[in-house]
Amino acid sequence: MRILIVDDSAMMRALIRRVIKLTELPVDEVVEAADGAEALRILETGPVDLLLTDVNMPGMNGVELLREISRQARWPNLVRVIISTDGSASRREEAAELDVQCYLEKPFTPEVLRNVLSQAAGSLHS
Amino acid sequence: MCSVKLPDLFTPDLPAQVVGAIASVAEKSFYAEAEPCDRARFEQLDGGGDWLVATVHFREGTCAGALTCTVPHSLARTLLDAFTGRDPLDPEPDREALFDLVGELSNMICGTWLTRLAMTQAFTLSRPVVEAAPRRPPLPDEDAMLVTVNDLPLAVSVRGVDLEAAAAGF
Repeated sequence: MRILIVDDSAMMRALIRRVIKLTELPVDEVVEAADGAEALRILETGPVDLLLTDVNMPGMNGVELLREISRQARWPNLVRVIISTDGSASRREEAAELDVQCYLEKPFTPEVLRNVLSQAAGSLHS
Repeated sequence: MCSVKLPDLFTPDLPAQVVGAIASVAEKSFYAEAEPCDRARFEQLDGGGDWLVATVHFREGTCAGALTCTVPHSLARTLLDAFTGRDPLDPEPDREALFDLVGELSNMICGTWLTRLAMTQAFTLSRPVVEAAPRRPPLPDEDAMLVTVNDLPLAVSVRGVDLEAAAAGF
């Protein structure tokens, strides 16, 4: 499994990477992007199974990234997860329309992130 | 259309709401305990060394504002250790890492507070702007929320901008 973490905070990306390492998921590689545009470039250069993206980022934000992924329809099997401080119902509805499988609200404990990752990995194999 | 009118942001409940958000972020992300702190005690807490000031701007419909966190270097480093699992005996984290950490702290406090307040309406947060101060900067205003996190001082203040009123010439 190849995982792409998209967050403008290097600190948050490091935390997510650390939690992924602690899971027993079959992860081959974890790659990182600081915004949506960089994430798109990574998606275009190789297969990604699981996308973990923040919403509020400079440049192309997480919602714009997910819209572009849906529009291009090139990654139908990509499992999409939002990790955001915005836990509003409106944002969650918007995420559901963009084929987001899991929505994780910041702040979160590593245990909750681990559960989300397991759930996301499960939908990858179903 | 704004679901949370600006006057509604500044109710007598604001300090409790923001302190609640701080406590939630401290506990979940940093395994730390946040407690309200009175101004006299806060003034006595030095924190040691530089201070960092992080401001995140928020916008929801025609409502906009900013939340600012003011923390000593010592608290930023303690929180960074908890967040990343860094061994306190490792070499000092670089300035960029501390700035990133304090920015993320302000981002999470603001997002948690707004999510609980607005509940239904999505909002936008700016990338946090973080600045260093050689000594403790003056507290932003008398209404700043003062807490200790693991016995180190943290001040949070919120100010609002009513874009609709501003556009109408108020």
